[in-house]
Amino acid sequence: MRCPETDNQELLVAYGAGRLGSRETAKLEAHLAECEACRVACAAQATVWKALDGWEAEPLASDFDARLLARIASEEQPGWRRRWREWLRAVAARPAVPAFAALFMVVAGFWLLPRGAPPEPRADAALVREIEIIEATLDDLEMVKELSGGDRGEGARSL
Amino acid sequence: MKTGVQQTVVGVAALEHDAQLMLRVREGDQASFGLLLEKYRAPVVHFLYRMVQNQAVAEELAQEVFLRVYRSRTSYEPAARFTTWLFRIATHLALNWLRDGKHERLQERLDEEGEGQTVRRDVPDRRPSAEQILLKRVRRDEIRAAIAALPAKQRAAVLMHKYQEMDYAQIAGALGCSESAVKSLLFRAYETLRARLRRLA
Ligand SMILES: [Zn+2]
Repeated sequence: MRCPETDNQELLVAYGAGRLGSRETAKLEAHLAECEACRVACAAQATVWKALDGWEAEPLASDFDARLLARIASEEQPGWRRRWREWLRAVAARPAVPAFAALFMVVAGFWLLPRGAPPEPRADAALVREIEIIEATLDDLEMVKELSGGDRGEGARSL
Repeated sequence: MKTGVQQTVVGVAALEHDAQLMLRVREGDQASFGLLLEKYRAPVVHFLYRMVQNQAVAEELAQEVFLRVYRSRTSYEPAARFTTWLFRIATHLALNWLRDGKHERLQERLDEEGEGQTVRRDVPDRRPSAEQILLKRVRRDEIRAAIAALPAKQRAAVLMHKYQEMDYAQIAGALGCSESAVKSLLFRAYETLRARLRRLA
């Protein structure tokens, strides 16, 4: 076989990532037994891989979805807040939906989906908390819009 | 003509689950958007975090990614895999952010916002020893610095390859370049990392 260290890096990287088939693995390991340069490269690649494995990402802010939904909602229909507040007085959500789906129905789906019977009231602390976050985010967004003369999100539509 | 129709039918049937969800979002089904968000929120934020190495900025950029996904729902066509498309948007935003001076302004704003505002974070309840924490931190700082030192495109390629387990074709799609260009980016990046992280062995 060609020496992967000089001629076929792809093989060494795939081996280090454990993404090599069993036949290719066997072939490469046979080569490794005879090739010092490749053994060194493989060991170094394994070190890189393990190091990267150990780099954990940070946990997400718990209001990520609420903030996103508030932004979507504020784009969807500018006049929706009043109606939403009215609806909020009867704080409710459809039962047995994951918190996110419930939230989404509340925030984005409220005025878009055909309105059927009012949903059953449900006491759900997490949902209430999320709704508070959405309220706060909306206040922030409105404040930012006022401060910046409504030019927030410039370039955002350019993709 | 008949084969054309059949091919289309087969094509739709073979569509990956995510693309199907996105098509439903296009039809106005917001719950499907919720499912996509649920599935990709963390991967996208983590990718962006490792690109820009600032959690607040990463989350801000991720918000923009999902906002764009939602905005483009009406024009969405499943030409590429959903993840390729998603990470193309994420990569585009990260590279832009790293390129122009805009990030300093955003950084300032986030710093201001961060003051006097506590955000509840879901921290897992694990208590390693002080020594473990220190050792881990030293290693993590080494890794962070090594990744940060890579040119931005190499960095993006490595992160998608390593953490998203994307293949060369997907990474090429996300970066908007050829597969051979991706290979060259990746191998140069890994070569640099091997030399730099050798002492962590
Ligand atoms: Zn060799």
